[in-house]
Amino acid sequence: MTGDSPSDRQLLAALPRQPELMAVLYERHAPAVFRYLARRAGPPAAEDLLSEVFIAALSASSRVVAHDSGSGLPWLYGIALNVLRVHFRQQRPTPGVTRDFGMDWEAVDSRLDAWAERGRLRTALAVLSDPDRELLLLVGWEGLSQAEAATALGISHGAVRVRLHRARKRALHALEKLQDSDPGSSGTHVTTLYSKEQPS
Amino acid sequence: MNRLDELIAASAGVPDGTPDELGNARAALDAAIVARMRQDSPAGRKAANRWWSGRRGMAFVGVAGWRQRSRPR
Repeated sequence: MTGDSPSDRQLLAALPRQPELMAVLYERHAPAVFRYLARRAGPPAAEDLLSEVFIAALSASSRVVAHDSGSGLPWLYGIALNVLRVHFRQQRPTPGVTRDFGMDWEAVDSRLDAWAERGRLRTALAVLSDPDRELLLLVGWEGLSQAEAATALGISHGAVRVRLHRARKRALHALEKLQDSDPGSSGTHVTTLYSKEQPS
Repeated sequence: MNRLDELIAASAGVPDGTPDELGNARAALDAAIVARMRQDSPAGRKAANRWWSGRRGMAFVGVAGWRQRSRPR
């Protein structure tokens, strides 16, 4: 412990007996968890989901898994992932739109400046399983180390290494195929991709 | 940086939560913490046990048992 403030590891250890310590974790990690939620569900939904994540963490504090680094953030991301799945499952389906229980792709596309880029990331990541996609984005969007991502997903570090390598390779391959099929501007192509997505 | 990394990096930027957004979630969390502390406190548990072993609690259990026994099969 350095200075007066307890480390995350100490907070997590004391949390089952002292639930009020969750407020300290909130002050430390709420901005990062908000960004995690906003990247996947959009900023408007992130506000509501943020409290749900920390309240769910309060209920799960007896099963807390601290990362070796002592940071509580990977554990909170793991809880946020579950909260997001429930959120997307509860949403009413939109006719003509394929539901994705882990991502609001309109929110993702709105962050890409060029129209030509929109839909490309979705296409690249569509070849991955949900856990592999989440792993890739935990590292790419959230900047987690492989070991931290392992804690967030509740898998071993070795499994993360293998799965991350495989996921990157497959996503890159899908992107290259997309590029080959439409080497020029891809605006038209993206439109075609969206129109293919009809509910089964 | 390859094409995939560029796309991931380009789509990573989101606005930070405003003080209002973070404050609202904090208020909801605080309410949940207070509820949890009440539920977990020894005084709260003792009061709950006292109620169940008291006259009202026993009567409640008795009535519930009678209803269970008298339910037609």
